[in-house]
Amino acid sequence: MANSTFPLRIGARNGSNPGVIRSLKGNRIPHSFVGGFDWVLKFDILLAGTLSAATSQEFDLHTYQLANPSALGSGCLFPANVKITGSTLYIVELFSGGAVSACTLEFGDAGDPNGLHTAVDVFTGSALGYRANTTAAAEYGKHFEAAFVPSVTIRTTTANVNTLTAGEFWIGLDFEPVPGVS
Amino acid sequence: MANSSFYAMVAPGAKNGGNTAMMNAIDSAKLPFAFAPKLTYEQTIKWSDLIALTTVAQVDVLTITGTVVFGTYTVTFTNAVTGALITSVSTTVHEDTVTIGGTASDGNYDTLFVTPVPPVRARTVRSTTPATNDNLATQHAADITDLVPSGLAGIVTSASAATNVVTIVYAAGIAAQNLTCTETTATGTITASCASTTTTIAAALEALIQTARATTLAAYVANETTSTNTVTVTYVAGVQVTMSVTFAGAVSGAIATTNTGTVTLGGVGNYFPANVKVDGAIANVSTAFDVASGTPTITMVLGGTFDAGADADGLMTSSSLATAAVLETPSAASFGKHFESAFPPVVVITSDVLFTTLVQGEVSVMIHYTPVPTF
Repeated sequence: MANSTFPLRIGARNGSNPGVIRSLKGNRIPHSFVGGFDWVLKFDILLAGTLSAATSQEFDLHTYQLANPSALGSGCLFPANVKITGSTLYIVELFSGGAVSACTLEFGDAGDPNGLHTAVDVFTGSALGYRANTTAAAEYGKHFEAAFVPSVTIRTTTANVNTLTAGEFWIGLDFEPVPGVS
Repeated sequence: MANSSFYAMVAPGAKNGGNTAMMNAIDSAKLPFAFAPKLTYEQTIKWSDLIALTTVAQVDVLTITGTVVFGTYTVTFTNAVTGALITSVSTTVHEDTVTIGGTASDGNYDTLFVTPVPPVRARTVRSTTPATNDNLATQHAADITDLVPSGLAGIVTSASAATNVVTIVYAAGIAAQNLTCTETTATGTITASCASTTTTIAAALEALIQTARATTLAAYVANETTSTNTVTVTYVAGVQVTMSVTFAGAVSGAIATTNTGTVTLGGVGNYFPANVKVDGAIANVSTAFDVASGTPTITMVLGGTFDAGADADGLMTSSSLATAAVLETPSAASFGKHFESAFPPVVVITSDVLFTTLVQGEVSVMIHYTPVPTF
């Protein structure tokens, strides 16, 4: 028996979207819906707790969020058993403070601190707003994670991390749920 | 605190039974994540769109091959849309060479010019002096030159010699074989052949096109160059020109045309969005691009100016539009999911036929993307 076609007619642009939504809501599509989602968190260096008297510091973003429940973000930890499909970095305020002469940010987890974003210049003078992805980073491609705990690592030059007095960004982690692993 | 399962946040029923709960969770804003579904941007390009392009870049390469003979070599330019004659340029081959070969011996060395009626004979007598082939060639050139004012008037304009070879220049317009060569002694040889080559014809035609570019071709030809036996003509952007040739004898002029059309995707109501993550591309050639007669070679690439810089085939490398098929280049440099702040997708279509000759063709170009949260 040959494959049958998808049970809905998908239009080229937006004309068919309402029908798709209705069919998903009415459970008339015999497959799991796997939408894309973004886990997002706003990170402010001034809310990051005790800053390190060293030129680098890794911040566990789960710990950060639990310590800062008022911080804008997804309101929950990054979910278990999902496929990471990319990341987003948006700089709200550039990093500066004390005698720091340069500052970079890395995004990943404890096992690979720069697995999603390798060193991104976030020091005064660099660009605000969205930043390019590090598509060649080791963990950037779509892949399954059973229990991923995102982290950011701040690295400073000339002076220690605890001399920073400004620095704020949004971090996003794109993911897809995996229906069969819940 | 460990991560919790995404599905635990939604509802029981992880597989197909959970869609209703999932959609309700999204719709009711109970889900603590930004919903960012993968979307597909799409634009269709039809054959008629290519004909309507006003920025087509056309380059024709004329390659001349064969053994050059006396005659007229003409290149004609016509308007590919209206068929109207633009202009023709012609060059006439009118040089000949006579080579004194072998070992010269005493006797008569004759070149017979057959075009004049009656024929004219140029004769050089060797009786020890001139002693060598080179000297014999010099003397023979002088003997032909002596005939220029009289028997060869209007036929030959000059004759000169260098290293055993006599070069005869005919008056412009002499288009037929003009001489035969005979040698009356046993050991020497004398042969005649056309002095022009495919390279000299190419250079002559290029010079004529260059001159016409200042007048009749001004609105059509942007530049022309020559290299050995080829002439490359680059046209003014947007014009569509048909180049044709008529050459003498068995000399042939093959014309390869390359037409390049650039289509920047997007328009009112359907611009590719800013600040999204590009996540692959695909194209569906629903109707093969074709012409009335023959099969064109026609391809497309997809790319544009990315945040990281221009890359014409960053999303799709050269893929044929001549066959109905679904096209994809997963190995393209920017195919993977990545952020783009302001990406205007560009399709570049290249063809070996004029776009004006297309009679069918349709391709839907699709770019997958996901929106990013707005901060």
